[in-house]
Amino acid sequence: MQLKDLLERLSPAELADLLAEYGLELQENADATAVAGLLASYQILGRAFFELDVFQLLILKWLVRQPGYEAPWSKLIDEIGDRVSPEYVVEELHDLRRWGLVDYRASDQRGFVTTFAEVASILPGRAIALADFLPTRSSEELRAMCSAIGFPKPPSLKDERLRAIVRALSDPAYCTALAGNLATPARALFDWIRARAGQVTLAELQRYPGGGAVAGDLAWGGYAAYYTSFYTTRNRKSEPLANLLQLGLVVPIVQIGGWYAIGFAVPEEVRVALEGGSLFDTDALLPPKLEPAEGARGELPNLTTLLRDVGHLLGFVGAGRCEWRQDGEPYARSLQALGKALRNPDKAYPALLWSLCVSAGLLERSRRAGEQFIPIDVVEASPPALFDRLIDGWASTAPPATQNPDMVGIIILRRLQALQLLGNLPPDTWVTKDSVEQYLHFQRPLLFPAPGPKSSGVTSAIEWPALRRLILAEGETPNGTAAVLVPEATQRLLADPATDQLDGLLPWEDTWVVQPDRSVIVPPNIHPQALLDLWGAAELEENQGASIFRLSGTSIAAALNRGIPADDLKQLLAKRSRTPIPATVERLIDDQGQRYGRIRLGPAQTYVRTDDPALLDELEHSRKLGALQLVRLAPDVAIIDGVAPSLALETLRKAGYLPVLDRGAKPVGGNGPVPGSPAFVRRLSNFFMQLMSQGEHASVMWSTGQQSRHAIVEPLDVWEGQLYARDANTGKNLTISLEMIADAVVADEVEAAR
Amino acid sequence: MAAGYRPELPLIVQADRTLLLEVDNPLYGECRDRLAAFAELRKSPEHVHFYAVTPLSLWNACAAGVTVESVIATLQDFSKYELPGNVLADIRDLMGRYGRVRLLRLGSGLALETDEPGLVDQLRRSAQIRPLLGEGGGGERALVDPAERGRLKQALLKVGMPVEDLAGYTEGAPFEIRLRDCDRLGRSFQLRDYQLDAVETFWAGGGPRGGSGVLVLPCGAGKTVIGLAAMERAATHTLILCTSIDAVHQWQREILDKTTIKAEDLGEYSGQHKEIRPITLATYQIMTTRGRGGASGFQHLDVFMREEWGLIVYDEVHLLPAPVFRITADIQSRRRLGLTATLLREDGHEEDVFSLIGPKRFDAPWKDLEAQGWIAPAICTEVRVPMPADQRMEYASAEARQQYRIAATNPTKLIALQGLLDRHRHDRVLVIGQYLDQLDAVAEQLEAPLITGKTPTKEREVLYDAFRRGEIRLLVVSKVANFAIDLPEANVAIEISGAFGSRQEEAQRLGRILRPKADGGQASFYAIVSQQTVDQDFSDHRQLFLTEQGYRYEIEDFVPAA
Repeated sequence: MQLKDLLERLSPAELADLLAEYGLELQENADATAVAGLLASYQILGRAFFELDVFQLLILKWLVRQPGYEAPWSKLIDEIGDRVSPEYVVEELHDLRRWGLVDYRASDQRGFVTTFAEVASILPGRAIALADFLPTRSSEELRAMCSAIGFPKPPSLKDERLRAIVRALSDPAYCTALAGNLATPARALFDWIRARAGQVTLAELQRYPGGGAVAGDLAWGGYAAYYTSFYTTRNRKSEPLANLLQLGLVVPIVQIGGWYAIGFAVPEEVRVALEGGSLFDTDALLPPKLEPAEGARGELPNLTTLLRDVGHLLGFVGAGRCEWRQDGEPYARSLQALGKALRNPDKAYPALLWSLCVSAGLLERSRRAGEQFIPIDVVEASPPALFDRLIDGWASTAPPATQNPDMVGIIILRRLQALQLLGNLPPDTWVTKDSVEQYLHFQRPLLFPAPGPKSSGVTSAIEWPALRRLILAEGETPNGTAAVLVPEATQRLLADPATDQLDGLLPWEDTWVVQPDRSVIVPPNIHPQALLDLWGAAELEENQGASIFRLSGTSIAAALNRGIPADDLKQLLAKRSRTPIPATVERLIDDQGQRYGRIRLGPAQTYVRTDDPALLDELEHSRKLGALQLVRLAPDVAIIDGVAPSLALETLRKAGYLPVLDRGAKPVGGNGPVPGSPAFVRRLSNFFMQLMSQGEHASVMWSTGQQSRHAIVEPLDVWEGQLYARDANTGKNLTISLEMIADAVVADEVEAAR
Repeated sequence: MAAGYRPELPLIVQADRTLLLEVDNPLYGECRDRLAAFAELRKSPEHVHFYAVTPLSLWNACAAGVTVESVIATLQDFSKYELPGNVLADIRDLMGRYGRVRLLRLGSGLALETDEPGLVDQLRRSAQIRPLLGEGGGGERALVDPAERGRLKQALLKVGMPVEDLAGYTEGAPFEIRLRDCDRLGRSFQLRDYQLDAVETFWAGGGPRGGSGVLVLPCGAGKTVIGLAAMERAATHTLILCTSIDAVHQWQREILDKTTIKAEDLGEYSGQHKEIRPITLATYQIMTTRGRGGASGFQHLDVFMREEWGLIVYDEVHLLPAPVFRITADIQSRRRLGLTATLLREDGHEEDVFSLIGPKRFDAPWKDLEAQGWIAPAICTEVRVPMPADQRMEYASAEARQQYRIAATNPTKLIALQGLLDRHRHDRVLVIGQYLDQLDAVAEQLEAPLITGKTPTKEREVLYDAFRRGEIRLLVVSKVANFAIDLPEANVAIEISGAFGSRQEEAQRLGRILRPKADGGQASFYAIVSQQTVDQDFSDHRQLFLTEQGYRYEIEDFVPAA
């Protein structure tokens, strides 16, 4: 039966529903063949498999083993027996039909159940069978297998050889005897593969305790992985894996058209011959029961804390506290610094918070120099809306580090399904974590692999750390059994994200308290926008529910350095303060504001000037600034040799001063050519010509060969590599070789007036 | 609205067991009183006070009969937000530990007892505790040498196993003491409510659960009187340790003024006198004088053991020197009372004070007493003066350690000081400073008497008395006047230089003017600092304790006439 046959039988409404499941719309005049063609690709039809439970996948696997992918209804019911009720089978089939994966008629009279070639061709985890694999082998290889199995006279035709092998290995007695006669190493390997649900990947096989003894070189492209060699090389018989392959007890798993094995499996015929039973015995047909975790205790997810810390992260980034790697991502040390400030002992927490904010679009890429991300405005967001945004963001993105593009979709599906399925757990009830993992595996086996033994070290596909922050509590029973609980309030938020109900979330507070000891007390449910603002002026000191910030000379200086004027800082504090701003705080800001800009730096190498000669004295004597080696040119001017203004600025700021770059202090040199080079001389020449045309002065730094000199000059002419200028201070005429000029900049009005 | 959110309530309970209490909330008073039973007031800035629920504070609460249920009920009754789960678990766990081991008297010795099988063996396995336990005693009991009582309690506290000390105290030689109803001038005298509360909390009915601990009250709140009341309760020979000879004399005056003790029963054990009487006053300095013949090389330390003291009072306990700490560990059978305004040790040894003298039994916020009129309201002002141009250069090029001295002794401060004195020409003013040459210059310029460490005691007394009588309205003093100098009439203090960033010194200096004024007037405290220098930075730090107590500093810029 073909998929189009099913589509033809569906009513228009059913067909529209089916297409809606795949996110498609029914086009006018589209016939069943066209629709089937649209669906029949792994990208479209394959999506459905991730929505199926264990039993539904077993039904499909059973159907693809049936001739023509179809069986009488009674055969399916007989095969399932009394494992589950027929009504449950119908329910499961109904769901499969909704996806267009099967058709059926549940009736003893002319009842049937069928799947389609399109489904069979892409069904994941389809059992590997000799009947599927052997036709791909050559007649000679099949002859060798016949000999290995023990046929004294192998049939002469390829098809007969094939059938003989299948018949022999499907015979329980013969197959059991064959396995029993294996040499010890081969027997150990066979048992090891069977113990792993009959399939192992190449990578797993490389970790087999027997190691290289299994099959020589198993590396990609190696002799063993090139699986054909197992059938053609006689002298490999002693290798356990080759032995098993040549007997047909194991077959390679090969991607279509591939030459290398990606894994090895016990074929279905051999499995049935050795184990007997039915495909429906291989896994659970009913969802496992969730086990109550009696007496479990654990911390409930605190969504208010999560939203508060989102505000902290936005503030941390907005205040320029984050350092960026060359690829534009934050340095791990920056996030660690944030984690420390947040007082959260979980080292993974800041990175999780970061990914939540990025995926929710609360941080976006910046175009401004020196910044990689900037926080977005969240003024209007209500607590439920912000929570919903975080959840949505998390569920619709994969971690940026996900290398394999195929995994991106899987991770997103996994997250969506985890939220949906966990949202259905009994509310406010502790259940064992194991039973939840089993439940998720049964419901979506392709997304949540069967949980392995805890000692295996394999990371769970369920992202517990993120879920713990977002929706559930993790805890332990008195005897140490891990347990989880989803609060009813969170379930309601998940079920109706548009709700304005504040269950589980506190309403925003929008005020803080500024105290005379320069602390700012911020309630736990403060609006994130308020935190975003406050980070710009103060440092987070405590974060234990309420957050306590500290205003200090350093924090105010940092705000001034980011261009926030002192008055704006006072206004920022006052607008949300429940109490008047204390005099001590106002004065702290005023003092720093007055200090700000008293030291000015500019290029021409780097100059430092100030209106207070004593301050320049202090800079000269400061040990912290020793590395700058200030050279005094005048009572109020010094130069720094070989240090860019930006670096000098940074050094002064680190030493506790509040310098600014001089207005218009854009050096001729910038980051460009080296002083003295032809390109630099050309640039200087143009610069002075332009100044002459505008009647402006220049601040020039040059070398006389023995010492550096600096002057504010009025350019008069540029001719044959010389600058002819008048010294604005002395009125003397100067002739300066352009090759000797270290740098020059437009002098501001104050300088020129001197 | 989310369950458990009650924004109208005054308390925020944090996961680290700190509590934030809003002062402006109508329920503030009630909440503060209930928190006092089990939480420790850490700081009390103007709008939000900080408490901490510590193991020690909970064990003290247990000792006072407070139950887990009442602690949790208080937090639940006042918390704006749902209580963090771990806080409830911690409180149950910590309070559950109290009383698991008890220290009891056994014949002439002591015994550590428990009801839990194996616990004594477990304690014996601790390297810190093993040497302090004697051999034998039986399964759930270990013998303890009485001399190790203090160290054992310290060690058990460190391993999180608070001992319930039921061994009681040595009663000491009896000596009857009565507080007078009127002082010697005939003025009515009785304990204020908070003083009574402090004494009762310390004394705890005279049983083994009381009788040792620290009382923290603001300067001017009458700590000496509380000490006298404790002595009345104990009615025994008492040793009082003070920071200075001035303080010894201060205590003597108070004792004679407010109790029935006669002068002949008062002894002074100091550099000048070596008298041991039923009530003996000694200085920390004499106790820590090194010499032959004494314990651990300290000549006079055996005074602690020589007499049958039933009570030892440690005045200004935050200044307790290390040798006295050590001897205090040996005298755990005597009742011990620590008194202080600022339990801040710049060396961070507050915990040792708690474990050896005893837990903090009482702590009254400064602003609460001010509101009740028991200490004078004070206006704190920082006056910022510029540096003269020539000094600015000197300051700029000086080594870091010299910079503070240059800034602190800025001569422009004297001009500003003169301006303040003009403003307060009718007041009683103390000018306080750190540097003697600066104080000399000030005294000379103002023609005012100067008291420093070099001033003979008698001369100091004469000057203090003259100040009290109003014959002198201005005194220039060095740090010798930081503590225990009772000058109730002083209403203005001007600090011209401080001991770098010492918070407790700033508080003590303010304390000199906090005695309530007869006319109900307010006190004025000025700190003159050189602007934009390290003097200003240190001043910021010095102010921290007072701002945490709820004081606000106004800031004035002083501009000298051209």
